[in-house]
Amino acid sequence: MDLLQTIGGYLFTDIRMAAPVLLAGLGLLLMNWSGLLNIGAEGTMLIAALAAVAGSHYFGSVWMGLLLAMLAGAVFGLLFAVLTVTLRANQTVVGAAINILGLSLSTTLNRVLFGVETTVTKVDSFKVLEIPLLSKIPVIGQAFFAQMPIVYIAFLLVPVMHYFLFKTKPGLNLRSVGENPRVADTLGINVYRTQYLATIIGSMIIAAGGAFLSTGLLNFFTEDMVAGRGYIALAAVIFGKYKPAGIMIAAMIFMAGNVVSNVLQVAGVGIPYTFLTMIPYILTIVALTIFASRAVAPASLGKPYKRG
Amino acid sequence: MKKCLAVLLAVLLVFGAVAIAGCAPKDQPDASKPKETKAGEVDGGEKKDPSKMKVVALLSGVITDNGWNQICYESVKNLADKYGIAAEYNENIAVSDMAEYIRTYAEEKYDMIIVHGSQFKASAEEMARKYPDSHFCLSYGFRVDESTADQVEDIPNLAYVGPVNMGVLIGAIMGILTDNNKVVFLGGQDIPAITDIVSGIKEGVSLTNKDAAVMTDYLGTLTDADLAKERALAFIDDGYDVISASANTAQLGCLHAAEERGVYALGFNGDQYGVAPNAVVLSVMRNYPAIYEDVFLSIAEGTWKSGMVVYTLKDNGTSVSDWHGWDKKLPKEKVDAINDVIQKLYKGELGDY
Repeated sequence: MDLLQTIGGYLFTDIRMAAPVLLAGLGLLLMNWSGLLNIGAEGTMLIAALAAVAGSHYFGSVWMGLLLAMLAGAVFGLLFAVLTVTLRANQTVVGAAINILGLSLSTTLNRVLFGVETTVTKVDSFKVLEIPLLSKIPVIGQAFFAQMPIVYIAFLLVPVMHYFLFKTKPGLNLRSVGENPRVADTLGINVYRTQYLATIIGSMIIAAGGAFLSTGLLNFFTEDMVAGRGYIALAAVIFGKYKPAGIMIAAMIFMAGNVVSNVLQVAGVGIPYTFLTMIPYILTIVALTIFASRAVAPASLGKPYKRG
Repeated sequence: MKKCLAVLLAVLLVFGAVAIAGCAPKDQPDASKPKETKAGEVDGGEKKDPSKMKVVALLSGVITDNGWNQICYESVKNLADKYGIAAEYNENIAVSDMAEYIRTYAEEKYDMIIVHGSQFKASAEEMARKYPDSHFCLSYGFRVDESTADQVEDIPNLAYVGPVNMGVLIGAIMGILTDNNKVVFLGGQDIPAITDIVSGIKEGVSLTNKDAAVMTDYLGTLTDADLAKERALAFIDDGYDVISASANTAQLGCLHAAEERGVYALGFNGDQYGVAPNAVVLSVMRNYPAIYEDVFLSIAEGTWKSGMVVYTLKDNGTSVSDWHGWDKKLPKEKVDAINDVIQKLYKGELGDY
């Protein structure tokens, strides 16, 4: 029983840590299926993490923080769409610019809003929401049903997104834009509008992941706190073969690596910390090699579309 | 139409860049009047007016990192407030670029150039030899076992400056706080400014608690507070009931974890009571503001010392924060024991720290 409880605890940590990467991955997926390659998830998450703290600080509610974060995400998404869809700029370059913008803007605004201090401004944060009965299931109950609301949202988005993309007409339209925008256009689908919507909504989902980092796992913002999760999400999308469930598995495997390194360090087995830091990445590569089959990207991913 | 928009955006961007450049620090010194200084005068002798001295801090990171760079920013700010000089600093300097930054300020005859971090050792040594008129301070981390001494080179206008034995002080307090006899200290990365502390923890704990199990390890990150929090939770769930960390912003995650689980924590590098008021009993800080004020005055008064300039606990190299009411919340014998050990360490009664 004790062992089972421990495993339940590991699962709990794994799910909680996977949630932000999962959200970012799902947001990126939406954009990818519309034919846009956005590597700017890191920057979007950073500005969202700050916006969440600012919103929570000024309005006193963590949900207002989430709303503000998603608004900030929408603005970043709009910027990306204007530059890549309307002006047809190189998507990778714009994505990189979004990352730099997110890092510098969040740093600057953080100093302007909260000052240069050795402490941080603490705000209202998400609380655990236990689901009655289900959370009493041994081993997995606490792990799956005693999480913060935003974790449930992240994992519920997996089937929702799958249904939307692969079972509905708007989803089919979105994918056809990503596969062949010209054909989609001749069939009367508004390519630009689809891409704009996908980018803005996708960026808002990414932003929710950023908000969870600052107001879910913690209750403050620190500079560069996303620490590469935006890039992990990018990899998770490819690893997950452009499927929501795949992204979920990828995010959970990666974070399981972090749980393993936590366990090994606490056990004091004497492995140098630099090796422990590698574990999530090694685990991901190993999993990728074992389960690898070709990930088929949307055919027009990253190619700008010019109408007429 | 779209081309027009693109051109318009480009023009806006350029204007923006020019505007930002225009706002860049205006306190750049006037280079037209070079001062006559003979070589060799640097080492003592010449007295300077503190308010006319030019000081700059060259930093590896940002001034809001809650750690290493922030404490240096506060040092120059302290000098600026007290002596009316300009608080000049440069952030985010890569190791490969440091020599050029130093050269720029040395050419401008800056009196005190703080090169903040041992990773810049080679650049600082090279430039100190080239520019004997400026005083160079290389912020350094000293291990308690004195193995650092071999790395120091003898250059008359270069000082390796830093506090020592902070880890001993932190460890001593941790040893008293623990109820389970399990304490953990997590460094961010294996770099001199962090290993200097990690190296003293075990010795410190053994001063106050011979039975306590001491764990010291590294997180592998200086920015990822979320990851640090999960790591700290794993330690706390394993029975560790006192935690402290030195990992810039990432360490805040450890303090947050301590508060969530209701165990004790020690802040570090700044008074971090506010981060987790129900966990952070005390904060221990590198006293760089006092150290660099001391060095600054030694340049002004002509009593500059080069080589290893070490500030021990006795020399006030390390400071401890206020109790913030914890002296009422903790059992009295723990408060007394902590006060007692701090006093003794500062007086040198427990050994030469």
